[in-house]
Amino acid sequence: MPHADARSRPLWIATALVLASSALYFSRLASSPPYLSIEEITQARHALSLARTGRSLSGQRLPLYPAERGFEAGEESLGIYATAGLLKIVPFSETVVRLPSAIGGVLNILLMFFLTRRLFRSDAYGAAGAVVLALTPANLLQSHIGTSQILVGTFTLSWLVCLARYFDTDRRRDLLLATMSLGIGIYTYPGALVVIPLCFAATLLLLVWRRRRLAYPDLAPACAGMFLVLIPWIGWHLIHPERLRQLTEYYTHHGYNQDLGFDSFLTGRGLNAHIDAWWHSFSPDRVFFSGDSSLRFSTRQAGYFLLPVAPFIVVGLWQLNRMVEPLWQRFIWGGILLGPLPAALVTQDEFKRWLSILPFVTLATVVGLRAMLAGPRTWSKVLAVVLIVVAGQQYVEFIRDYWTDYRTRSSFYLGGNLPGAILQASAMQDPHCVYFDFRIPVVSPYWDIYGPPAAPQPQVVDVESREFSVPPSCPSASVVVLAKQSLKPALQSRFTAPGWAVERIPEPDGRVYYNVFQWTSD
Amino acid sequence: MDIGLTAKNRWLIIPALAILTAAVYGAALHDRPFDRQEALLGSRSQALLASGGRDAEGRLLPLFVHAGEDRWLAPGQAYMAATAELLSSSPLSPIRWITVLAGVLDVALMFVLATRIFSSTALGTVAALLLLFTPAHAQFSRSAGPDGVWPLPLLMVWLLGLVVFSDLSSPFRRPALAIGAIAAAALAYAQPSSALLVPLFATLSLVVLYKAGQWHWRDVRPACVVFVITLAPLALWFVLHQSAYPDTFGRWLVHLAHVRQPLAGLRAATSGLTVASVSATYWDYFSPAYLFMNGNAGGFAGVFLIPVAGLLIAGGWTITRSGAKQWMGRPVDFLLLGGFLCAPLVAATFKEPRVTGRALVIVPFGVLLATRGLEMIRSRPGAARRILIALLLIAAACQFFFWYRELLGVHS
Repeated sequence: MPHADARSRPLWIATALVLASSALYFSRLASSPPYLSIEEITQARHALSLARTGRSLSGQRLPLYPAERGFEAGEESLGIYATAGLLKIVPFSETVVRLPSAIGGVLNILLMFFLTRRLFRSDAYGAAGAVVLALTPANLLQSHIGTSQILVGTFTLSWLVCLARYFDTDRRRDLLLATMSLGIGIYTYPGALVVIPLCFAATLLLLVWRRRRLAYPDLAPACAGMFLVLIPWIGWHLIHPERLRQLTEYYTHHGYNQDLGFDSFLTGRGLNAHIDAWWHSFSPDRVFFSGDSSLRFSTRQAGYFLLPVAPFIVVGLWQLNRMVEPLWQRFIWGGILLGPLPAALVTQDEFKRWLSILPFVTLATVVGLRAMLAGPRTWSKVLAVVLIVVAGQQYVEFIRDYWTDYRTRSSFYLGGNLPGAILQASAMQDPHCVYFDFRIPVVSPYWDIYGPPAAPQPQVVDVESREFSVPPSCPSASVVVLAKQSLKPALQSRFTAPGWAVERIPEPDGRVYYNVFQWTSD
Repeated sequence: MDIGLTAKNRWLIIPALAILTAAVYGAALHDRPFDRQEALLGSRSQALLASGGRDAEGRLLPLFVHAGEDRWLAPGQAYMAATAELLSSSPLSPIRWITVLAGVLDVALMFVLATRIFSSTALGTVAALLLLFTPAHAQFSRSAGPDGVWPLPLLMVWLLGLVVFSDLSSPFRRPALAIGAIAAAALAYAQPSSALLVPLFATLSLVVLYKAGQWHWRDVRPACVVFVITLAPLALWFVLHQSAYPDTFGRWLVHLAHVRQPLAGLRAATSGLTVASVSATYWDYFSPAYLFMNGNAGGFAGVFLIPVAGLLIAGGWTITRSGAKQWMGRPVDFLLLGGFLCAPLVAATFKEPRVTGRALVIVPFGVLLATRGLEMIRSRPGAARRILIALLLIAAACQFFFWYRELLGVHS
């Protein structure tokens, strides 16, 4: 019988990992990235509406896929309901919107510990796997984005943990749990619609391969787990059969699939784009140097993974057949190679679409780490230690940048301090007399969140037009314009007239994108 | 394994391959008008002949031929073109026939090389045919642009030298290595982008020699000497004509400022931004949509034909799965895989994606890797594998036919 200390050690390690990663992942949740993106705002609006009225923005009562005008297919609901649940307890804040994702990021780390620990039969390598994932820039970045895409990785990991248990114990309960947790992933993010069926198919294939026959006692719980969880999904699509068509329509146009629709799968140009999207997902530039091309999803100072991790990944994949059972070799190779399939299908290769790759790359990294540390050559051990130190140093740089300079760099791409402008503009007496220049994009959804409760939508006008003027009925008024626009002589003369005052809305670095001109009749 | 030919008659395959290659590559060669670069090469070579071997500045037999403004012609191209002009009686400039000749040489050398590597006339013939029917090779053998097939014959000779040297039973090890070293050094004269190939392949040679083991300094010394001698005219030229450096090797190899301040050059070459952009360009050169299946090209052909992808992956997989220890016994495998992976490195340093002419050295390595894959599949028992090979080769021939028909159609 194992010693009590040995039995409780994994729990202590897991607790330490959760505490440490929580300190890192929950820190500055509201301020990095500096503002909620339009996608986060959409989720937040759904969550607020559900928390207040039990209905989505389109008026449906507790829908599985909350819809709104312009996106009738509806959003994946797990993150939205989690946020709505939180909003029942605490008031709205950016932290609340991002909290479910951050919890997902921490859960990933915990699950990674249990997965690597089981695969390598070692608490130390289990902890190493968890630390590698915790220090993966992409895991942190995506955990700070409130649209729940990180949860695809979480449910992929929980599936792998349960599956690993099943392969060890042959307890079919674990198999049932594996496919159930995999199935829940389908309610997290659109990319899961591609990933989850693939993972489920891989589960069935490996079950057959493992027994060398169609072993129904194994296949039955696997299928049952998936079916049970998919009952709401099936029910919803039976009632709303148009949803899949709407979803397909959306993801084959609107900038996806080069707007070619299904022709993108039938033409040479289209096929090239799909293959290139898949291939470029693995480009070293993106994976190790600069990440996604948009500052909304990347700091552009670090890749999805730390650069010093690259040698571990290469060695890990090279040594996979020596260090890991054949079954897990297939899982890791398959997980990595097929991971970017959702990105390839829609020819948009942002990492948020293929986060299911995270556990597989982390496993390859741990294999490489172990191969180098446990190998017979001294130089490889020294190199491994040096790489670990350099990786630590790069992560410190990354996190420092993420908490400071990145906020400045990314603020423009997140729409600037529109929340600040709205708060300032709506501070006036009469909410009917708030005007936004039409050159400021997407004001309305932000107003829903940051405007006064029950206040009417602000009026969107062309401030530069001669016809625009504040009606005499307004005792006071606010006019929000872009800062660069307010330098125009016509506007300068208008807003320097008596009664007008300007409030400049500062960005994190003090720059100004929005000016709020306020007028009072006094 | 051979295909029923005696050792003496086996070499009859070479002229047969050469005639077939010349016919395929030379068909309707002048239906397409010369592009700007070809016209420049033709006119400069004619001017060089007319002036008795002097360039516009009056230099007798210059190493790099000044083609006006900041343009210079690599010596290999300029003098080959001048020789062809001298021998030709046709009113049309014969410069494209030089590249056709290079293509023919490549195919013939591929036969010799693959026969030697795989100890099989059949595989040698298949390798030569795979090269002959490689779209990128065919296309660039029909065009005398600044980057293309120019360095490939030299590359094949270098490979052959290393392969013969790796064979411990060969009586010609030392001369073979020396000839290979001359060919590697001569790459510097072949085309602008091939200057960087010299240090790259020199490094690869050293690694292969290290992996091969069982050699002495006296075996390698002649190769080192002739390597340096081959490069000596280059050094002498730049000493005498320093003004030519910035627009030749200053642009193609190392910037003049970085020659003067090597540390600054090293910093620039290893900066995060440079490494990131070069790595992205390098990675792009291996995209399946570029290498094997280009939807925008005739017959959907990429650099290689689609069926070659399967063989190439099989070859690469066989080599990587055999493990590092096996490479000691078969250093040529290391050479093939290393060469294939390094080939686009030079093109990537220019930071321009998918410039096939600069990355054409990938073709011979790719063909040899595919042949290695073919060898592996053929060695397994079962009729299914032979049927698979036959189907792949037939599919390759069909795809080439469609690509080639469109190539000629476009030209006419």
